[in-house]
Amino acid sequence: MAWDPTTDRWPPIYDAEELARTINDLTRSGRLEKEFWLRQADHSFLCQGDLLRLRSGAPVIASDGEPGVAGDYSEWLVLGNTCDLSRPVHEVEWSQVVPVLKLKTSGIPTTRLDALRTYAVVRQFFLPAWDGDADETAYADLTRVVTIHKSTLEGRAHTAIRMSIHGWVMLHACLVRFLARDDGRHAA
Amino acid sequence: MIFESATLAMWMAASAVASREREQDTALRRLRTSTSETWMLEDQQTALEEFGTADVLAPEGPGGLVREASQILEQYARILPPVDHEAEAYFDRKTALLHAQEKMTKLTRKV
Repeated sequence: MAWDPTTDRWPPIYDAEELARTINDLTRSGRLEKEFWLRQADHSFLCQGDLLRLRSGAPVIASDGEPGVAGDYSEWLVLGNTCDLSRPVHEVEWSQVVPVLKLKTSGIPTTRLDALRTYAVVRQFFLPAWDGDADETAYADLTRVVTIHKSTLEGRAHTAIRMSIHGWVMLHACLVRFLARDDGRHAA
Repeated sequence: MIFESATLAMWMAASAVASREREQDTALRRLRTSTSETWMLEDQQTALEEFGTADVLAPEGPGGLVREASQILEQYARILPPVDHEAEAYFDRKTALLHAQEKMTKLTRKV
């Protein structure tokens, strides 16, 4: 039986190869963008990869080592693991999100845009359009991870859209590459 | 005919490798999922005898975690294209410009 992302919890592990092949095919064919988001999903609970609407700045440790709040973002991508999100707040209190940035598509050279859309860049995670301005290209800035209290996720933040299995596995691949890519220190 | 034999030999070699890898994965999974320390030590010993120290216990850490991490990286690498470093530099600059427009508010620490 096929894995149903709206009802089933995990994709079967033995389909990992097929999943990778499907995503590869989708990316090469240019169809991944159409298959990236779920058009219908149960938003009564949160999942890793959800796109959230929440107006907030990003807490940072500034260049002088002091805490600060930077920016004013209205959309965020949830990086925190779904298991942690599903646990009660008294067991797992915090999760992680990154801000979503937008550029005017018309101002980006085609070759650069293609690289972003095919996930050939490491620190930015391309987010296919889910609504809004067609001349905007959105991406999550993986360098700006923010810790967020889960009570906010259950209250003030609202899920705008949820990733399909293809989008979610692509997020996993890019997260692993971002955090665990070779740094060359042990190269012969 | 020669081509067919060579193909068959390659296929058999690949199957043998895949089979051995599956066996190793099973042994590693048993190691990782074990909750009883005694049971784990016994299983670890069996796995060591079957596959050798290098396969089961990577020198960098216990339980073959390095090996497992490599497999995960390899799997994900199959769906990612090579990194475009010029595009990366372009979007790094764009991102820095966007962030440069941000207003930073310093927080006062309460002691």
